[in-house]
Amino acid sequence: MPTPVQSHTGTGLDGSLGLAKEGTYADPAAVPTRFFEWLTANLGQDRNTFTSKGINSGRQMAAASKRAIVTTAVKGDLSLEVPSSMFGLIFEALMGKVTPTAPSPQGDTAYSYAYTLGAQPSLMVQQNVPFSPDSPLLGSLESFNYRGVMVTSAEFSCATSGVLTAKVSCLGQSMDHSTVTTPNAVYADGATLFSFAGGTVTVDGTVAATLSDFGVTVDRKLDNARYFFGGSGKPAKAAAKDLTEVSVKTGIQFDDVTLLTKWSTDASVAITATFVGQPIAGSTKKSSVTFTIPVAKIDGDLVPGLTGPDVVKLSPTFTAMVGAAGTEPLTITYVTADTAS
Amino acid sequence: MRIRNISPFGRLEVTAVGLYVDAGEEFDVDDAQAPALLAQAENFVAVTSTTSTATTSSQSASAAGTTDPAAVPAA
Repeated sequence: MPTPVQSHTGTGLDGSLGLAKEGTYADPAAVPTRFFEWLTANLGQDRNTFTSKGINSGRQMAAASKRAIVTTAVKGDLSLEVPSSMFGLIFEALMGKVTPTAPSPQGDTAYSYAYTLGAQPSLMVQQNVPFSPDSPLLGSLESFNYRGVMVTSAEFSCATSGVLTAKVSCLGQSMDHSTVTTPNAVYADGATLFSFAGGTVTVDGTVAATLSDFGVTVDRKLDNARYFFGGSGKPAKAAAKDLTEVSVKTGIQFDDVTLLTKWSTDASVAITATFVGQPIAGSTKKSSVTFTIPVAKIDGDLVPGLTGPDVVKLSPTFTAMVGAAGTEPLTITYVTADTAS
Repeated sequence: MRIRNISPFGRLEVTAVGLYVDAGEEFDVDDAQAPALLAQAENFVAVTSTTSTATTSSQSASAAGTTDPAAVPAA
């Protein structure tokens, strides 16, 4: 028998965040099918207005009747803990191309999805905001539907005290909203997280034994300041305005001169970061997220100084670059029980 | 109305009805709740048979074809 879950409270605890991939850009009929446990969900609508500066000898202030909305757009960020289920949608929205791999051997239940750079799909994002306990609308939610949303960048990081998290920055075309009395959130009950304890980073195939901070940022360099006559003041689909940038931030102890030597000659390094989660039911595998960067250059100052009594530490950053032809500059691999990306 | 969980994400927490629903499991919702769930075609489908009864997750998941381990996953 299905098991009851708790009812809602009329506070922010009732807020929900749902996403769906749009079949048609900014489809007004799209509804969310995947809901994520959010840390913050701050998509909003930018509204640019024009106020007349025309002079009327009978008044000394701007007239309300001479103000108009000129353009609108959607932008904002989502902060999430990366779960072991449903998150393939966000990886795909960021990277663009997904290559699924069936479970192996036959009978296993672990699916693998490899995300590489390609044309990005658009999303609809729904933020369901609860009315306060003192409102006559207590128990209802205002559903804010953001449409034509493109992921312009995402930062994945894992602190020594936490789990793998994602800050996802978005640009979108439009927003509509309505009051709903029935919550529609549906969560993957089996989703778990990726702890620091399951994290491993390698540089040139060797485990970085004293690396304690890790973050990778993927910036697709999208811009949606693309307004055209006939567009009702809404932007066209966000498009790339520059080269995609993938950078890695780390913190590491000064153990040897390997990185220093690489840095001084501007040699390339290969980086992988793997975050292993919980076992997948029916499989010998565990859920995981792996960032693979075959070619990266080291940025920043790798020459250590004497700054105090503590262990000498370095903060190298790495910039992923295109290497050998046919090699993806960044692959994100998601191993999950999800049977769809 | 009776609805089946066909989600590719397995067991779901369905807040509309306050239930946890296993993969392939069927459950009842009232007419006001049904549209919001059935709109999520990735997760739910209406059960049209009047003789359907609640099933185990393994039975119904197999019937729905959602957890066939040999299947190539959808992109």
